Amino acid sequence: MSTLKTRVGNYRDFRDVNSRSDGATGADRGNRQPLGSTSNSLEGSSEIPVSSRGYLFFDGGFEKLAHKELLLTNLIGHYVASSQAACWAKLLKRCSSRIYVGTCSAEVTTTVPVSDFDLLREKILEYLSLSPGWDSYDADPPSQAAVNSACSVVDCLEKFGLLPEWVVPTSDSSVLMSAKVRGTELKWEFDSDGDIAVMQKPKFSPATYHDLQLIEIGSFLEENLRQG
Amino acid sequence: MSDSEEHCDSVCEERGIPRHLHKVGRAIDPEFDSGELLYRRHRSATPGLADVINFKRMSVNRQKYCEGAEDVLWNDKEGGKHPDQHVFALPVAALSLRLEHPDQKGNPYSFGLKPLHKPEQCNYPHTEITAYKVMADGVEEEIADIKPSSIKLRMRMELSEYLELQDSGKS
Repeated sequence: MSTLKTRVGNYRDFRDVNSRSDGATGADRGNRQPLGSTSNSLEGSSEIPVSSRGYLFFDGGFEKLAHKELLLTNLIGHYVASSQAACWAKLLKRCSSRIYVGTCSAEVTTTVPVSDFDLLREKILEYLSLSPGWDSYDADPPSQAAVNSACSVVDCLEKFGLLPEWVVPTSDSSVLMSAKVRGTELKWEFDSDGDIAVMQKPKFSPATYHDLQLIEIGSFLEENLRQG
Repeated sequence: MSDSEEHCDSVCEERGIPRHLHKVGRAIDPEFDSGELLYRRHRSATPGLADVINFKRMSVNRQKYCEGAEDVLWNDKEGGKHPDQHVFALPVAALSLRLEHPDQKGNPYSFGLKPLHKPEQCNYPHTEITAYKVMADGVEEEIADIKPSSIKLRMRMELSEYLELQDSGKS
């Protein structure tokens, strides 16, 4: 097996070039990191194995790298299922945007498979980069606290294998999410201050509304699974 | 002077905003009929619709001074129309929703919503929906946010039941 070499210095160059105007990078925007990120591969040169593609140098940063989507799909396909490889390739394309570039180079040097839950968390993180007025009125993007709460609940849902049906930002800087636990519909709101509320609607019963702490989410889901 | 000229604002005219939307000296009309519709644009027709609602002085256009639901698509600040938006209507009657909640001492209070006509230079029908809290003694207080979050979510979900899509596609 041959290896793919990366030049880490280019990671730093690329991040600097793509920093936001206020100087913050994706990694600066809170305690949540884009999926699959690692920090140990960001220092020093690193190599990852590749079957027959020889060496790929990251000279031009991710913009050039993204053009090598097919190559990367093959490359990553060496490690993971092809559907996941496609996800990686899509992810690399998105890495050329300025927000998450800070940790994307690390993703190239890991072999962590990307799940639907990872993609969902990534989608939620992207809400942070919505521009003021994104709703065509005067809304701010969802707050960091709302995004953190949403991602934490996705973590909990993942433990139970419950993939949410949809997630959307609101003009109130909160995040809405819908998930089904067997016959019960759960609609979540992650408020701008991080508070979590959920509507619980069993198939043949009226909806009830609850305020939950993060620590209560696991038992709340277990209870719904039992009742379902 | 013709009626059309009376209702003409040169700034709005430059922005391409239709004359019936220019304010030009017209006063606030505080009366809302329960059957009147309130129009709001939104980027998506799905899913759920609950995200159409917001509680921080939600901007809408009142039907009484619009020639059609699509009037809400005009960009009254910059001219032209907001692209890729759908239009939803919410009846004023839906705002009569009242949700009760006890405070920390167990005293009940309720939350409600009210439409307030807030005309703008190039958007006379502009209206804001404000959230307020009614204390046990009947005193009303406008609020910037509804807490607890479960009450806000309930209000969002119940209001969204009244929303109706007004267009069949994007503008």
